[in-house]
Amino acid sequence: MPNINITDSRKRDAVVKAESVRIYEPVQYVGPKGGQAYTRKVLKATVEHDYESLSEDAGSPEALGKALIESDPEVDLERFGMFLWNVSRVYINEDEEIVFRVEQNELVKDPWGKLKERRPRRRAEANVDADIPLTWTGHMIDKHEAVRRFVFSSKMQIVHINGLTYDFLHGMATELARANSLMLLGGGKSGKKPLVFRRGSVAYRGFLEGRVDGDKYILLLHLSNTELKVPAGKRTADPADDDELMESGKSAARAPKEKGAAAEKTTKKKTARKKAAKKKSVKKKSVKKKAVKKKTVGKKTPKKDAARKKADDKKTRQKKASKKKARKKKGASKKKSSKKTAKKAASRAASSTRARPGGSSSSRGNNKR
Amino acid sequence: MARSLEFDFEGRKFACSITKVDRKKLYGAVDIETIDVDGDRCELASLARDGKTLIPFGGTAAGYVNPDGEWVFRKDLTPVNLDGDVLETVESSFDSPSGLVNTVSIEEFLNHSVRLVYRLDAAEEGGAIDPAFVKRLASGEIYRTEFSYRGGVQADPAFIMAGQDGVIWLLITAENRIDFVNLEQAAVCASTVELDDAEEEEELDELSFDVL
Repeated sequence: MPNINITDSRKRDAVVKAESVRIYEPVQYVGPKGGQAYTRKVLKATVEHDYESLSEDAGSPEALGKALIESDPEVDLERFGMFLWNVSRVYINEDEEIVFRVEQNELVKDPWGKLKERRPRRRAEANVDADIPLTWTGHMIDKHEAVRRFVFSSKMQIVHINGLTYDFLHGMATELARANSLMLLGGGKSGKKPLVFRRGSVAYRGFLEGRVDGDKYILLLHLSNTELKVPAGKRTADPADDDELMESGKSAARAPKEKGAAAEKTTKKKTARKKAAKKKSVKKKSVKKKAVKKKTVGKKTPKKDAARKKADDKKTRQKKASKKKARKKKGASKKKSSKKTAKKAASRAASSTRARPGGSSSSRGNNKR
Repeated sequence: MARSLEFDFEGRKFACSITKVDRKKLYGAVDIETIDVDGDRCELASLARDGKTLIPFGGTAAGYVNPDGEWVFRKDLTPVNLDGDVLETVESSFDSPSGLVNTVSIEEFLNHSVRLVYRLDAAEEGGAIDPAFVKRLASGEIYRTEFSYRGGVQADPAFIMAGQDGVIWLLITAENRIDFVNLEQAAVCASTVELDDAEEEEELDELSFDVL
């Protein structure tokens, strides 16, 4: 009996139980001698006795035909007919050897058997007893309408586990009974995902029905993965696909009276979406172009930079050279001027020493050095 | 070619062809392809308990054996229920007309799980399903009958109703056991042993603090 984490209309959630309601009526078979007869699985053929192996052994199909007439190469008297139990499922390759590492892909085919998509195998995670409870979507569908739109292939009865959850579920059943409708139950954060009871199992749309008789109640979860409709001539969406399931869930929750209006709305929405998508695509394109430009600029920079660098280097070299020249010139002029000044100073000193003997001439002479 | 079923509605008989409708026809199907590390396709096979006998697809068969381990042919078997009472067998629904007498409520229909869906059309070209019956279906009535494709031990409950687009459907179902629950009928979360009054009193009398 699986747990189910469910929310009511007040957004209160609780973990309760979902019971199977299937009636199992076993039929037994009695043999002519009396006593119950049992089914047994027996060995009929092995890979060593299939057509490929036998024809390979015989050498040719003609030789195999001859061998079949003359003897019984296709029968292993020791093993054929033996009871089988605890049989393991294995994968074998073309050489009929067991394969231990395999990858699995899903081949999605349309109603006409044409391959639509090939993708790695998806295994939807269970979401009925997850941290996020199943959402009370509030999408009510009249019972009469619901049975004519969906094929309810399975159902579970939701039952309480204690006094608190009794009140919780009784309240839900009362609300649904008053509405005389089935309510769409959704999984995931958005509350639009289908219900998955076990990892990788079939995803279903859940419809909750409530019946009340005084203190007693029935809360039934009807599960459906098929619509009651004639196969369409043109390609239809696959509700097994998560995203499309969400969309179909929206459409599934709509009343037929609102169908026309809903169709208009959907067309409007679609056009709005298309416009938005176009805008987005335009934006994306412009962004992409910018990015491309940036990229191209980024790519082109090294060449330009190199040229610039070369030019800069030239300039800097030239500058350096001119600076050096200027320095040299300056240095030469300085030397000349210093020589001149030294000569002048010497002449001045000589004149001063002549005028004032024992002055600061020594220090000045040191500085010059 | 679609097989045809004959119905009896208020003494008038009419034949309908049946066309199976399933998920594959509506939405397509998803096949699983298994490949090895080299990208070569693999096939499913069975490995016997001895660990070396490889059995290809279709390499096993099932049969009935009696308690002595002797092979018993299916035609020699008698169906019985758990009490050992012999069960009556039903004939195929294609062999005789199915009566359309009982109408059911929505709740009764909802108590059943749908196993198979067939679309009903007039069996003959240019023919029509009884107009009075179609009118009743259009008014929202759901008719209950029994259906067995090949005949056998039990017939399945079947319902005939009109779809939203006016198409008439035959829904083969399985009955479920759905009952009202009250406060006392809580689902069992853990194994609990309920004591009756006498045992409870005894337990209380025997309550002592020695064990603490």
